[in-house]
Amino acid sequence: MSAAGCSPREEPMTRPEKFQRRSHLYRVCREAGAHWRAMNDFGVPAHYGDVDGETAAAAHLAIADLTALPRAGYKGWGMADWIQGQGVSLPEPNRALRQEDGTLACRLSSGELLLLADDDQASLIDRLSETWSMDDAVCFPVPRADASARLAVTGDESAAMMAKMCGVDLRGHRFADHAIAQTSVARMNVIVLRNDRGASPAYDLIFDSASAVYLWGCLVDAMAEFSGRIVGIDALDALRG
Amino acid sequence: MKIMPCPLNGPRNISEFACGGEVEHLPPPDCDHAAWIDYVYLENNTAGVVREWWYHTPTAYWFVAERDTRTDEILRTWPAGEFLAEFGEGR
Repeated sequence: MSAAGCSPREEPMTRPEKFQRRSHLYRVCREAGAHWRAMNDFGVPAHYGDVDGETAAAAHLAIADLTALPRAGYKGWGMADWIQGQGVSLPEPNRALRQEDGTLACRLSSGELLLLADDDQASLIDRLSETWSMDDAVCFPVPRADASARLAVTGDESAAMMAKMCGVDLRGHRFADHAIAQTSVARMNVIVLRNDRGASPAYDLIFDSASAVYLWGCLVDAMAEFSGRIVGIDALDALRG
Repeated sequence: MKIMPCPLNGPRNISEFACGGEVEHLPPPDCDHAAWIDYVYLENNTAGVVREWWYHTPTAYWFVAERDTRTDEILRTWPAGEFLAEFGEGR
């Protein structure tokens, strides 16, 4: 593929090994036929050769690897005071609140916050990273960017599929948009965040990156019953509109 | 499946939790070896209502639960901070 033949958003390099950073799932996504683009120094599966079909699948049932999207965490008894002093609006524990720049502030407990970006514009995450210092630390950073992986499960059948893997009732009328459940999914510790894309229900799963291939396999197995598909990040962007 | 009402996460399957043993007071620093052995190794094994430390594994969250060991019924739970404020320092 030549650079001239690519759309402005598409990375001309087709081998994920060419990128500085890769998700733990890059081999799995490569086997599935991913087309890559650069984001946040990562090679990201943009699509698998059928953007329109993937967008339709994402509204029905699909999974996508979002590990490349920026994230950060802060923890400690002084977290709330420090983070509010930085202009972040805090939700109640086990709820998420979207900030002005689009970042989702996910409060995991009274003293722990997880920040997630839905695209590569992570101004709040970058600013907090530059502001935090050891000298006046009242909370400490949690290495979410490297230690955690992030997947999305999207579509109308997503709650039914998640019921096969998770004991918490994630149906739409019981688990509202931006609700958080820190629970067991396929016998792994997983943070489940409801993060709808447009009109489509969706759940983001944040968990130990070392087990990403295992959980991906569990999700692929579970969604087969509902004819789910693996999709690229372009399909999720299309759903968000 | 038995359900534990976690103070942070709400009702959850008991498989998400680990029991940390009965709430006990630390012995004084100058106590004899027998008191330390009793504190560290020996369980009271009470048949009745006990207060125990419990741990929610996905959130690394410790809290206290009151449980009747005869019926395995969970009667009440507290966040650790609230329990210690109400009943003083436990282990």
